[in-house]
Amino acid sequence: MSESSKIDKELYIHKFLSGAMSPQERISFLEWLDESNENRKVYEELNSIWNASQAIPGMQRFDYKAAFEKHKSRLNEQAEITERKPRIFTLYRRYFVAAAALLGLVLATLFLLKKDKTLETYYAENSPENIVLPDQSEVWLQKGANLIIRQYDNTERKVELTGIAFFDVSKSSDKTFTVLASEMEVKVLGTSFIVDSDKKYVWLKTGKVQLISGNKSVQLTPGQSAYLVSGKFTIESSPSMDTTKFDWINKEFSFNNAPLNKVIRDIELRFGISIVLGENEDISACYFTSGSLRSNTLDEVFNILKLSFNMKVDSLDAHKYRMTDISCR
Amino acid sequence: MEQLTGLEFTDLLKQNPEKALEWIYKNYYELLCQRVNIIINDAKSAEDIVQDVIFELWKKKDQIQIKNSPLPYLKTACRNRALNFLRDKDPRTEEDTVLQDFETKDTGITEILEASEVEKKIKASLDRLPEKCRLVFIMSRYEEMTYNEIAAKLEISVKTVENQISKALSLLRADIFSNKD
Repeated sequence: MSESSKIDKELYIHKFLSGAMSPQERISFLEWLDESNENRKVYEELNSIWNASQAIPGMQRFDYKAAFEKHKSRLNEQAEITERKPRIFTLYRRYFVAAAALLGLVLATLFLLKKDKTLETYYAENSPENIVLPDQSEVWLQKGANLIIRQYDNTERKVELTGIAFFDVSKSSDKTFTVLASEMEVKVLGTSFIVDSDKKYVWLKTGKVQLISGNKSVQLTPGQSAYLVSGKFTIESSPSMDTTKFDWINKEFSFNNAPLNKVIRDIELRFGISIVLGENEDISACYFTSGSLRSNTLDEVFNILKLSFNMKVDSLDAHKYRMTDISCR
Repeated sequence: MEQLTGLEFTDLLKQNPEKALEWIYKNYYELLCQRVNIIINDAKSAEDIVQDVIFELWKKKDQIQIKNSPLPYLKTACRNRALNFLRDKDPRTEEDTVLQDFETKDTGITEILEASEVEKKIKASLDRLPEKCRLVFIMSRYEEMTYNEIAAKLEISVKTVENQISKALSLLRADIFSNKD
């Protein structure tokens, strides 16, 4: 081999070790090995690293039993939520259709109230939903979000959220309002804020909140947001975003010269998806204006963006999309 | 029970879903965690990722057909999530953020098994590689992906993959055989 000095030895050996060579290439490789002692020495060292590295992923132990138990308890939680919904609907239907069955209704209601006193559930199945709680606190559930009232009485206000919601909590003397979201606990008195249980994200509009997860705890001031990543909170200041953060509950869903990164965030929130950008995309100079997109589907919104920014949108999985080749004019 | 074939697994899933779920955890959980952990180098998040993947699979089990072993699906889903985890993590740690973090040292939910000196040394060297370099090497070594597949997955050129592989191996070699000759 005349150009053997130009060969990247490591790469050549790697192709051999990883089995990427055709039989013909393997023969040439073995000949190359015999060409010099240096070639053979590098090969032998890399070969021993290659072989010894095989066992490395096995160095850490993970316990499946605890994980299996956790899975079962997650399943039970879900069963609780889905089991209860149909019962409520059945009840309403009976109420309207057969008002005569009053006694049955009363009994059923009593049963239901008793059963559901601590576990009322709201589910925004098809569109964002607005809920007013007994003390006039309001919650806007994003499509797909689920809210369970754990306790709501004179001593405590505690709800559990799956998905994304905006809370506007009325101040009620010294009663804390607690949102349980994934591994986070969000404690407030009177304030307004957004919680995303999937992304483990909280954004505070007004007032003060305390976030707790395990033994970590942080406080947010208005305009700040926090992510929980690997058990740690990261706080970002984004006061300039201010009220425009709530466009996903704005009924028109329209944009007026809005920065593209905000548009993307709103789309994520409204449709409950996540969007990533290609590696070298710079969208800091992109702005977007549109009429009302209220009745548009996700695909239609993507088509409008494709036309506006000449971009490509790929679906990575059911809830994740990637935007590439974005050009801003 | 370890020796279930794909067909037997499908039967078990039909007859006793909970047993089937336990079987998945018993046989695949550790393996999957290890594969994710070697990509992201974060044992706690690796467990979260694997649990989420199994949970998602389980939610969809009536809609999708698990014809044979669920392992190929689980492996791919775990790998994708691990890579997304790295991608999502990056910008935030680089951004100009105020990090308020009441750090307590990881109490270590994992332990290092008995490993030969060489294996320990290689593990340490692997962890010292530059992040992208380490990732490319690991995708080649443990995910058994081709240069083309790695390039597509990481959205880099094949040339870059080759450079990173070459760099990884020469760094590992320098690190491990530095006492020699």
